[in-house]
Order: sequence, then structure tokens, then C-alpha cells
Amino acid sequence: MTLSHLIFREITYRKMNFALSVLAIAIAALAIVASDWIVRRDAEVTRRIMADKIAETEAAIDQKVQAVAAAGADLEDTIRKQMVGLGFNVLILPENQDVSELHLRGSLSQTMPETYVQKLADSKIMTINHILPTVMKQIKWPEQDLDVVLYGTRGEIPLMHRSLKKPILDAVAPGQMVVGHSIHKKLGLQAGQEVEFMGKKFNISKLHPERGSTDDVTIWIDLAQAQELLGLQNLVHAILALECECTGDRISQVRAEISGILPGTQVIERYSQALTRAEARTKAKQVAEESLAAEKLAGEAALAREVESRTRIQNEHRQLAQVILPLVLLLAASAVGLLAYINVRYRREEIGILRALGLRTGQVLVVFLGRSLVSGVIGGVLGVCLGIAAGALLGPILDGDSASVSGGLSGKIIGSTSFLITLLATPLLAIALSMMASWIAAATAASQDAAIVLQGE
Amino acid sequence: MLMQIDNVSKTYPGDRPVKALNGVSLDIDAGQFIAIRGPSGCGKSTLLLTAGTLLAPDSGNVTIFGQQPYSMSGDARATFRGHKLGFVFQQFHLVPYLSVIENVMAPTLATTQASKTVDLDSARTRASELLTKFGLGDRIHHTPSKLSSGERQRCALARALLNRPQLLLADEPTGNLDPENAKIVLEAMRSFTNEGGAVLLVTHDDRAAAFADIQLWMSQGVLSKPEPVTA
Repeated sequence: MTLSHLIFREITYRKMNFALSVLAIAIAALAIVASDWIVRRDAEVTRRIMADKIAETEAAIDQKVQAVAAAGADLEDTIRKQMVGLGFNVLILPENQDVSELHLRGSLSQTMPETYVQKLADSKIMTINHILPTVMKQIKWPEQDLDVVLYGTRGEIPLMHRSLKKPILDAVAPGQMVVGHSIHKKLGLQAGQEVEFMGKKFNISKLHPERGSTDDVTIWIDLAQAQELLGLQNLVHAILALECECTGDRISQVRAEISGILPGTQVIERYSQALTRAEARTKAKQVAEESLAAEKLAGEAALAREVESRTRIQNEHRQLAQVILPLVLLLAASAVGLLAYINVRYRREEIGILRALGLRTGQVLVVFLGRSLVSGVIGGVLGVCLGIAAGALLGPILDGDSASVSGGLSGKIIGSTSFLITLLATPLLAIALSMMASWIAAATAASQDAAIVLQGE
Repeated sequence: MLMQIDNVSKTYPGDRPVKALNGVSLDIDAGQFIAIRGPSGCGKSTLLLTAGTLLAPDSGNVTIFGQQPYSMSGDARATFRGHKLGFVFQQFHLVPYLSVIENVMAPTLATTQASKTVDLDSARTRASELLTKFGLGDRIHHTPSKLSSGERQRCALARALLNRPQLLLADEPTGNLDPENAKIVLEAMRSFTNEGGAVLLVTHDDRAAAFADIQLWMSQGVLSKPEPVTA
């Protein structure tokens, strides 16, 4: 006969009291584990949602970057082409060409060999990116009795040592004609319309919008046809060139370089548009950057809203746990204490006789606290199991819409070291709770006067 | 001298204090069977509990086997009680969830360490012998609720004798028994004194008192002088 034997026999005898004690402890342990589970689950769900959102935002920004880059490229290209309408920034002319003729009449009279164009293209010139041979002469459109500037162009000549760049000006195909704004307004011309020019038939391929320059009184046709009409076979009036990335005063460098390749020519800066173009490019880049920054800000704002939402949910759950957990522990402790006290009351006679048989105070304490220890162990282990189940069941309900990110969450939580500590510590806490709650009852039993009990009969 | 009670007094405090023992003196030798009779509330049970080291007197001395238990600590007195004294009560006070043999072995809770299996084995053997002697050899695995009153008291008597006490204190042990079972219990007590033990019996029952060597009368906390029983 040992005290442990006595304890276990009593437990099996008063099953209901013991079962209720175990249940109370199990509920307390369940509350500890489930609340910890839910708080951890919140943190993990938040982490996953944030990771998803960040990935989504980054993907959206990447897409936007690509879209903006594409739009920027289009914009840049458009600007580049629009800049052509404003004119190239350098014009290579025969040395004997009077520049005032160009400025006064928009026309040229002196020529140079067309082979110059190829010579320039074959050179290692660095300061320009595009070259365009042209003839340019003010004539009367005989069929319409209208003064125009005839512009013959064959499109860009690629610079051989450079990687191929996008053409800055489209060539005009033979038989086609591009008409400036004043002319087509005055003559009522339409795109696709066939017109006769200097005895040859041309189809109008494009009508330019108003540019406010000599372009408005210009017609563009194929260079070869223009040379033929003007009797300038294999000759050109000018070579238009664009210095793409110029800033500041680089015209002198362009002149120096070109004069080395094409002696007997002069280089003039026809318009100062290169800077405008660079500014336009900068502006395009700035617009793109602002658009991206706005996208990033929107993404960050969305993330901040999600963080705020998740933090609010986490705080609500944490606050709920902070209220419910102590309440559950208090109720469980009260229940265990009450049940222990009832147990002591039932066992007054037994305590009296055990004291009469020689049991010491400590031994009586062991009898009652041992019982609490057993209920704490069983209740703690049971509560841990139920707590895991409750956490796993309650988590998705509390999470609502975010349950879609809960795959493998249970394994993740159980696998975490800190939660393992909770799982291991909870039975110990349950035992401590059980024994502390039973302490008063056990102490009452131990201090019970056997004489009073035995006289009570 | 097995026990010496010397001028012991005990008063229960309250609005109207009750003087349960008033200068009681009593000597008990080995082999003596002493019965104390008296009306209810005269102090008989108080004297028994005081003699049993369960209720400290207000004054006077109690000496058992040359030792004064009330000068010991509570735990030392409990151990002393567990080794030296045996108790039998009218209400049996068997532990309801223990079997008959476990109840009889209950005193080993106080006297035997859990690790000493030899002590437990010898206690089990002793318990079986006592139960067989008291006619309960075939009831050892039954719980008290399955026993008759006589069987319960015989079980309680076996429990009281397990540790081979030298003094048995019995408070109305036959109060709930029929004459046949009362006789069995009293004869067992008689047998105990014949083997060198001493019995202090508190009873209302004349037939029970008749088994004693010495009968004493108690009234209002005062014990009359012992006188030999005349047949």
C-alpha cells in the first residue's frame, strides 16, 4: 500500500470529480495552445499575404516598367520623327552655296556629287547619327501655278560603322508625294489623290499637318525623280544630318569632322532643335519615371493598406486572446479549486482516520496534490491535443478570406521551435495551475484536526 | 507502565465552555483490558482521543512507553501513533474505495516507505493472516460497501492490529454490531490483551464492558477509581 496506489484508487472511485477537474485543466491548456496557435497563424498568414502582395506588386511594376518603356520608346520615336518636321540640326552644303538663299527662299542652287553621301556613310564619323541626301529647290508647280519647294529625298543612308538605328525620316517611294500643309489646304488635296507634277503623275501618300515653317510650302518626292525633274542626276543640294545626343556647343566639332571627310563643303546649323529633342527625350524619360514612381507608390500604398488590415486582425485576435485566456484560466482554476474543495469535504472522515493511523501532514498533502498532479498531466496533454485541433479549426474561420493562403500552415506552426516550446510548456503550466488551484483545499485537508472529525461521529 | 495519564484536563471553549476532562488520571499496564463507561457527553471519547495522541490536553501529562507524545512535533507524534497505537471506532472509518486487504494495510502508508517492498510483502502477509483469523479470508478483495457491519468492524480491528500496536483504543466498537459480531470483536480484543497488549475501551454497552478486567465510570469529566470486575 503506497500513497500513489491510494491516489489512483481514489481517482477511479470518484471518477466524476476527477473527470471534471481534468476537463477544467484541459480547457485551460486548450485556451493556451489555441490562442498561441491563432496568434502564430495570424503572423504566418500575414507573412504569406505580404509575400504574395509584394510579388504581385513587383510583377505589376515590372509590367508597368515594360509598358512604360515601350510607351517611352514610342514616344521617343514619335518625338524623333516630329523633330524631322522641325528640321535637321546640321546641313552640309557645297562650299560655294550662299546660305542666305536658303534662309531667304528656302531653296538651294549649288550642288555637290551624290557620292559624297556614300563617302560620309562609309566614314567613321561620330558626331552625327543620321544622314539624308536631298535636293531642294524653289520652283513653280506648273500644273497648279503655285510656288513650292521641291524636296527630293531617298530616305536615310545608314552609317556603316554604326549599329542600325531607326530611320528618323521615312523615305518617299518613287511615284509618291508628301505634301506640306499650305499646299494641300490651298489646292484641296487628299491623301491617295493622284496629281500631275512637272508632267509626271504622283500619288499623294501623306499630307503633313501645319508646322509653321517652309515645310508647309514643300512637297517631297523620291530623290531620283526629283533629280530627274530638276536635271540634277547624281547631284544633291545638301546632306541633312542629325546629331542625336548633342548638348551645348558641339557644332564646331561636327564641322571639323565633316570637313575632314568632305572637303569643299560647309556645315551650317539649320535650327537649334537638337537641344529641344534632347529635352523632349528627357521629358519622355521623366514622364516614364514619374509614371513608374506613381505605380510604386500605389503598390506601396496597397501594401500599407494590407499591412494595416492584417495588423488590425492580428491585434483583434491578440486582444481577444488577452481577454479570453486569463478569463478561461481563472475560471478553470476556480473550477479545479472548487472541485478539490468538494473532494476534501467528501474525504473528511478518510483524512481523519489516515491521520489517526499516523499519516503526517506532508503525506496528506501528497495525497491531494498528487491527485492534482495527475489531473494536471492528463488535462494538460488532453488540452494540448484539443488546442491544436481547435487552432486548426478556428484559424480558417477567423481568417475569413485569407484562408486561401493557409495551405500547409498547420505543419508550419507545429514545426516551429517556439510553438514546440509552447506545446511542452503547456502541460507544465497545466500541472502548476492544477496544483496551485488545489493547494488551498489540500492545505485544508492537511491541517484538518483528526480529533474533530473522529469526535464528529 | 504502558500508559500513564496524569491529572489531565480539557475544556472545549465557546460561549458556554465545556469541561470534558477534569483532572483525570489513569494508568494502563500491558495485558490490561480497561473499559470506561458513562453517559453521553461525559468526556469518554475526549479521554480516548487524548490517550490516542490526537487531542492535546489543556493541562496534565500523558506518558506512553515512557515518552510524552504531546511534547513531540505533530509529524513525530503521528509517526509515534502509527507505530504504537491502534484505533477502532464505532463507525469503522474504512476507506470506501480500498479493498478489505488494502484497508487493513492502510497503516503501512504511515510506517512503510514505498520503495521497501519487503515491508509491504510482510504487511500483506500479516494482513491476510489477520483477515483469515477474523473470518474475512474470502473477502479480501471486496470493498467495504460489500461487507456487513460486523465484517466491517472486524476489518477495522484487523487494520488496528496490523502494526502490532501495544495499546488498542476502542470507541464504542460494538455500537453498531449484533451480539454475535460484538462477541467476535470483544473476544479478539481479549485475545489481544492475552498476548501482552492493552485495551482501553469506551462503551455504553454493559456486555462489552463485561469483557474488561477493569471498569471505570466517568461523569462530567471525572473518572471514578478503578475497581476489579466481579462476576
